Amino acid sequence: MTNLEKYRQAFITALNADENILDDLNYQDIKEWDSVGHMSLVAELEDAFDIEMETDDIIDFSSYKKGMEILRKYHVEL
Amino acid sequence: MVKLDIEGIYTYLKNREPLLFVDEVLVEPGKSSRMERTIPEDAWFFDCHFPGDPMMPGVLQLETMFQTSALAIKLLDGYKDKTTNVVKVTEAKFTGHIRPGDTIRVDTEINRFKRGIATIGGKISVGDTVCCEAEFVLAVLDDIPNVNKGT
Repeated sequence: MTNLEKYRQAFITALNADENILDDLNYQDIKEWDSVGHMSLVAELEDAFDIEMETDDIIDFSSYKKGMEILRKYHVEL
Repeated sequence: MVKLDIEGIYTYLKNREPLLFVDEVLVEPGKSSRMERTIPEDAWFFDCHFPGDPMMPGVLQLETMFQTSALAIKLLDGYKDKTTNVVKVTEAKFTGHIRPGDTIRVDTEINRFKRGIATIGGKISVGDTVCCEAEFVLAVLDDIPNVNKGT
């Protein structure tokens, strides 16, 4: 599985999100991406990429696209 | 393993009778918890669920699991005064009845606890019969930050 596939799968697993809407997905666009879903997503990503995200990055992770940018800080190329 | 009696449970859980369903629990903090309890023949819910055919309601079986498992989180260092909330029941199966006077055994295991989110599996048995199995998520809301929307 490529990093991009892992990244997308984390959204699907944690948020039960439809793969077709991922590219433009923002925090709270779907009811599953609430504060609790957000932490589930973070946990999925941390497990998938074996990283530990800083709190500031967790707070700033406000969209699918923003998340890609943040993961680059952790040397995860998507 | 930590053994909690009812007085110990009062210090960790805010639940009180008649919606407290644990009275002595063995806890491995962060990992698992286990309880055996005899359901009193005169428990309040048997009169109404159902007259002439008393059985413990499924929702109260789930609540029993929630309370048992919450102790495995609350006994972690720094979590005693934090509030755990059930935020999702992923799956629940009810495969046997719990009758007045039955002794139930509740086993719960934390499959993952990270970032304030605990995914948990549990089951309730009477003797060799599994009556209820469930997977659910407890959240420690104090551990969940506010997300900056639109940044």
